[in-house]
Amino acid sequence: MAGARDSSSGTRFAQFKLVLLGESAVGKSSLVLRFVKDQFDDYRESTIGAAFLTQTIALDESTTIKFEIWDTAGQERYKSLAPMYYRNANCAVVVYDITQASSLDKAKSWVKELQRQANENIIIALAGNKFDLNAKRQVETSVAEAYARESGLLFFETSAKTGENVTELFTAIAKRLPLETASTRTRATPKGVDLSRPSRRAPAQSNNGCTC
Amino acid sequence: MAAEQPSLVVPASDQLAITAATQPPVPVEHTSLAVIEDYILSPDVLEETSRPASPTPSLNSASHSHSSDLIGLSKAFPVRLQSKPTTALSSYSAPVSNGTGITASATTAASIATATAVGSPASSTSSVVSAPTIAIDAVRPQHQGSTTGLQDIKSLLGKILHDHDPSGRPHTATFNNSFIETDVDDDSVTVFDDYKIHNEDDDRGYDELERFLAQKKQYFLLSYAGKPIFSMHGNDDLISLHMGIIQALVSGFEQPSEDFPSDNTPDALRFFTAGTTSFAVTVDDPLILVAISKLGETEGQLRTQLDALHTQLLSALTKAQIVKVFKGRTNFDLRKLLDGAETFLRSLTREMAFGSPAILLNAIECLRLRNSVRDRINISLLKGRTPSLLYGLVMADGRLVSVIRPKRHSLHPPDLQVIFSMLFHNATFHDGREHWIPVCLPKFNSRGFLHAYIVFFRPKVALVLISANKDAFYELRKAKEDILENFAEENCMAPIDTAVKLGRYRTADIGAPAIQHFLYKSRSNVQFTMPNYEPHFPDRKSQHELMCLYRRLHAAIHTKHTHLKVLYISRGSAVALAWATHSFEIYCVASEQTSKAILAQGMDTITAWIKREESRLFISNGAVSGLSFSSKDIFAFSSFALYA
Repeated sequence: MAGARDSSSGTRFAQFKLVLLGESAVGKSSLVLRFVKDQFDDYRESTIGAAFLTQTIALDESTTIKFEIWDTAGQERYKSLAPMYYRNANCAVVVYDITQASSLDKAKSWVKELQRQANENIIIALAGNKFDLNAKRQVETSVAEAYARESGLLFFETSAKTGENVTELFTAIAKRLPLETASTRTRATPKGVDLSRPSRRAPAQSNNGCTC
Repeated sequence: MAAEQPSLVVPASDQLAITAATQPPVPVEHTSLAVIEDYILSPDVLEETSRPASPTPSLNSASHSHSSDLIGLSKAFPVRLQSKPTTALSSYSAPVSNGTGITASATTAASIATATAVGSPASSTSSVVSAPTIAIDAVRPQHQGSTTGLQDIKSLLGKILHDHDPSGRPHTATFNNSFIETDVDDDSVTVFDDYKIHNEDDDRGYDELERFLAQKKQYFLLSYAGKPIFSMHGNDDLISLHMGIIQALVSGFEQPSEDFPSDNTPDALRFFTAGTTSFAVTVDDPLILVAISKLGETEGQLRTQLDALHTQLLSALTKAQIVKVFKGRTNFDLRKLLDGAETFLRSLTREMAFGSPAILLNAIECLRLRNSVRDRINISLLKGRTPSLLYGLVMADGRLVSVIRPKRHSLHPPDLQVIFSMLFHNATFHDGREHWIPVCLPKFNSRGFLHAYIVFFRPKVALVLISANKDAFYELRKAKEDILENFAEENCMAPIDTAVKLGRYRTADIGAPAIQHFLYKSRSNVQFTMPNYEPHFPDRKSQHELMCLYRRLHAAIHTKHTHLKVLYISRGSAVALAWATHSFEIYCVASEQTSKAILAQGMDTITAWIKREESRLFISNGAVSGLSFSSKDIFAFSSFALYA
């Protein structure tokens, strides 16, 4: 998938697991597609189950971060599978559609679930997508921003279509991630997250590239 | 009996019969029906026509078969009236009318209710009126049978003789030269969207209802309470009205009959016709599935399609989940739960309306590969397998390349077809991403989900790794990396890429250039093979017409009680020959100039070639039996027939 850059010895290479959540058709897959491939499709089939992608970004000259991204399906019938994806996630992007007020409610319930069930140090970003459809806006920026502030979330209004704020969103998450504790690692030994471990609240993160 | 041996050469008697059929110089309707001998097809061959063969004539049987015969004849009429009468054409009408006659008359009090309901076939204007008519006629069909048959013919003839249909709209006579006049006729509504032929002064006064009713093909999925779940065409208002009628019909037939008060066995509505439109119904509480066709398909063919649709639905939800949500809530709206999966139902119904060889033949197609290549692929898969892996599949361009499975769990063709349909009829997984999806394989276990790791590692080539463990993603992802590495080491990629790039073989390549296209099903393998559509059927329209012809041949050969083993037909611009034996069935199509001798010779060449190429065309026991390193519980999968 997305190729990691060569990391010469001495550079830090950290790997984090990121999960996207949100109502169906808010643009989760489009957001990831913009981030990973810098592309946009006007018409996309719904994601079924979940899709897995990776993207590596250079945070600064000596730090490379690899995101393992779980792009989950927004449909109700996959709801029960969500814990499988956010269980060991280091960060989450909860997406809503600024033209659909109800999608923010759904986003809020995801945030609540994450704060209750997921890794307690998980970094959550709230993304109001479809910024390009500003004319049809139903959710005021100030409302969402206030909610994000009181819940301790990163907040961006993004447009997967124009690309606005997409890289900014992921970079901001990367900067919040506890790099200093992340092990220095080369590309040759990427370590996955072991999903087969029993589900537990706030599980140990020792082999996760992050000891948050 | 030569015919009973699965011989791969056309027996002399067959050829004789064909030749004999060419002899009569004058059109004599019954002679060109090339029936070789009394040949009773074994029951398993006829699995699709699952009607009980009750010899008991029903009250209505006389009028029914009468009307159906007329309908059968009327199907042949258009061609005869437009082109010069040919012997072969009329021969074709014989088995078909027989077939429908049997279908319509196979009414038994116990388990089947066949109703002849009537709506004049072209009167799409009066749909709302005609819909209740269906219900009425269904209840007392015996009063309607014969007269309606005549009406059908009348209106059909009217339609052909004047270039206008009853609604008075002028047609573009696009299909005048097509050889399937009754299927792809001069209507603006077609069975699939990207092949629309519009009327001259389009769409004015041609409202949504008309368009809805004029569809050649329709599938309904509804709850037992009549709540819409899925419809191929139409908006919500139209759908709910018609689904309500279907629901009323179904439950009406389940009421104890007043005519037989002593018989407590509930009837089940399975199949009925209205004019030229056929309706097949499957009731699987809490669901009702309906297939509606104006393409002259048989009950067996429609039922196969309904099975495929049902399997596809279950694959998204599981039987257990569906039963659970409806328990105590008969009015539940399943669409909420289905959200996102309609895309698979939609692509499947489009494919079936177009005419899918895989579903028509109920078989799988394999990618033609050298044995050594397929062995290397099998070995690569086996080497890369991990403890959680249940099934491993490589699929290329809608065809199966290789499959591994545990010893005790065979992979059933319907389950495989679900995976094919999801992967290749639909763009969902073609984005280069790695997917991890819950999927139910109903024939494997309709109660629970398996989890599938799906990745298209080449534009048209997918690796599918299926596990029962929902946490196995990273394990299978690692297995994928190993497998792809093995592919590279074993030099498997290039042959697959080449096979995909070159497409299927051409009939000219195998020494049968006279044959434009054929379908060959190996019954023991439950697999089929066919040549490229090009160069003779380059576009969707001609391919659809071809599939309609195959459907007719298939119907004639699979009619219950048929003694037909070899069938020759000639219509318009094509001649065709179908042949069924114990071990295979084959359908060949050639241009109209082709003589029967050349056609039969071509078929002969093809069957001989397929016999030689069998191990490359089909995945059979021989392909993997040499493997010795298999672990105790997993070995390379061989025959799909094992499940049967």
